[in-house]
Amino acid sequence: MLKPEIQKTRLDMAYYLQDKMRSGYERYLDEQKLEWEGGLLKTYLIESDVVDKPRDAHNQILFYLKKQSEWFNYYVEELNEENFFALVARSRVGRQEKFDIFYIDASDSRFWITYTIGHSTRTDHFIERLINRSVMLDNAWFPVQFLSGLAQTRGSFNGLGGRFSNSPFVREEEEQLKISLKLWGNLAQDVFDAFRKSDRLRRMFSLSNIRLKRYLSGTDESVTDDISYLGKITSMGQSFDSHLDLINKVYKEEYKSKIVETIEKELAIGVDFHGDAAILKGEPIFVVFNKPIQNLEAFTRMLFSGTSPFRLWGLQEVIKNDFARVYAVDLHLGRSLTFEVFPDAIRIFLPVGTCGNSVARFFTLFQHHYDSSAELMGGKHDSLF
Amino acid sequence: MTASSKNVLILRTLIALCKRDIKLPSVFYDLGYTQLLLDKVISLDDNKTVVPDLIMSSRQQNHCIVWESKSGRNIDNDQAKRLALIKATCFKDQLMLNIKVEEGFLFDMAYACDGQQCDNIRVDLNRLAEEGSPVGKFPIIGFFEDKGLQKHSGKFNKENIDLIMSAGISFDLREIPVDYLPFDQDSSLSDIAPFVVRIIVSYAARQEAQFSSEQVTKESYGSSWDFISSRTKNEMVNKVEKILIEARQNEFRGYLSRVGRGGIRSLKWQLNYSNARGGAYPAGRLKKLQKRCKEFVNRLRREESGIKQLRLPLVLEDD
Repeated sequence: MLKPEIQKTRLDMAYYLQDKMRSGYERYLDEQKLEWEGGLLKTYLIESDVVDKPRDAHNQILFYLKKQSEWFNYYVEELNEENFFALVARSRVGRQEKFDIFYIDASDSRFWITYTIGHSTRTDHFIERLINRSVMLDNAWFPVQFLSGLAQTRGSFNGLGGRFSNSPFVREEEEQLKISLKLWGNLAQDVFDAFRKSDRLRRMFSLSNIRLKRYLSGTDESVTDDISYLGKITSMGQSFDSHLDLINKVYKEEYKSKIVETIEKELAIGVDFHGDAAILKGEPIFVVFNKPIQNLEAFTRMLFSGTSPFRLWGLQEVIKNDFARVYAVDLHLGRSLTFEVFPDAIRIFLPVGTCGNSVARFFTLFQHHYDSSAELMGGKHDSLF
Repeated sequence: MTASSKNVLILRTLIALCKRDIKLPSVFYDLGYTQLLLDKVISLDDNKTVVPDLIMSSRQQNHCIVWESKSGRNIDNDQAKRLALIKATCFKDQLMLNIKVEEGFLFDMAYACDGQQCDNIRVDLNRLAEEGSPVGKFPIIGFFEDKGLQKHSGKFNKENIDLIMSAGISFDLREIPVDYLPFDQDSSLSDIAPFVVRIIVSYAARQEAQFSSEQVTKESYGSSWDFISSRTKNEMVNKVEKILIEARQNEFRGYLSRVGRGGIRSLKWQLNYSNARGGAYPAGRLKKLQKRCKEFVNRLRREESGIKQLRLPLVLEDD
């Protein structure tokens, strides 16, 4: 079997990807296709719960990836550096066998940064399957406020994608409300503002992608990146360094700090050691929305049925007409949390030990399927994203 | 509602009022009562100890409140007398709370009671006061299912707290969150069961086929498990054990079985899977389990409310 060439160190990978980005960008300019075979650099953020012994992180991750490969058509290569791996996924396109290499940089054993230049239809599918199959992996979840915040601060807003479908809550297809669109150009902010001004679209249009154009410092060279609500960042530029700078800022400075520092350390319900005493810590987290829930019983039954997209299982108790409590399990990660549902808000209690990503996922999906204008707040934070 | 669940509810309520909660009056949160200690042992001068149910502390107010929760009609005389021996220095020296003892620090001891029992508690405290114990001034706060809480009698040393409590705080007790204190050793089986079945479903989702009764209890109770006494832990594990046996014999038949023999805390349970290839627990099976969980909890509630007495086996049987 022909084996693809795999870079063995992070530096070699960076040179290799830089080279691919340059040739990819030239072809992109020539052909003006959004993405062509073997083209643009895509980076996925994988949130993992694989490592419980940080000193043994490398071996634990390797073992896990090898174990998962039993169910997928991929193999794992242990590379020359600590917590650095390659997954080689095999697929067939027509009569041709294709290899897509995913470089996993697990320097942060909780948040793996995964690079690939494979075709997005294949790589998206592979990452989705890898994550959905496992209770230890998840992708990032960027709510509307997070994406629009990036559009304001990390470059010029040069395109957007959006989606909404209330199908998880409305069974009759004729009564379902749906929208899906993508548009590119420097009027993106105007379009987004117009949507926000419409009372209806504000509640039924969630940002799913943004495109950012940035200029490299000291040059007139620009780079463009697409950021999706699932945390995938696609670079349409020639500079790996610039891409790396963006993913470090978006993933580590912004997303990780909200998930770990704010949601898990500050808001999760549990105890802090205080000498030999336990100090109760944590605060409720609220999803507040404008579209009132008419029937709490039907709403909680549908939301906590255990099915996609929410994948929340729940033992629900409708305590009165305007209050229900749900003892829930996030089936994606197999962890418990409690939801208390009011007609205009959902109060969430995340126990210490349950991943903060559960809250980000629920909130993002809630915006995509129930009310896009929903806000997330907790403790001293009026807006968590 | 049982007396024990009222006790838990009173403590949950006090904790909830120390949180920023848009659905409840965040009275204590707004005044900075954010340091909360549950069941903390305090050493007294006479080599005795006292364990109040809850201590809340505010640096902003430079004030602490020591709470004793009472759902029944009588107080524990010794406990009340020992509470009266707590000194201001305890809060800094022993409890290491973030307060300024030397700058006008105040503290209060208060009884938080079922609204129907306030008169009885007052009588008990007055009797102790007549015997010479300085418990007579301890304020008593009554909790009422439909209207919230209200001071019944006594006086807080901290004037603004006394005013707030005298005016009363309105809320619906049914909306008090459960997660701050899921249950205690006296809670009824039906109060504990929702937490237990949820943990079992989380094992199913994580494909953790085997687990012990103690593990289920610990995960159902939450992270303060490590701070409770062994005796309390054993009592809670025993209750969870009863819940698991009852579930296995009825609604969870076919889903849950016992594995081997062992002491009560090491007893192992097994979840039965139908998917041989591994992966997530099949959605259809989880859906059925959801229905059975509801039926199970509802049955326990019905039986506890007197329609039928629960018959729990005194000895464990093998499957």
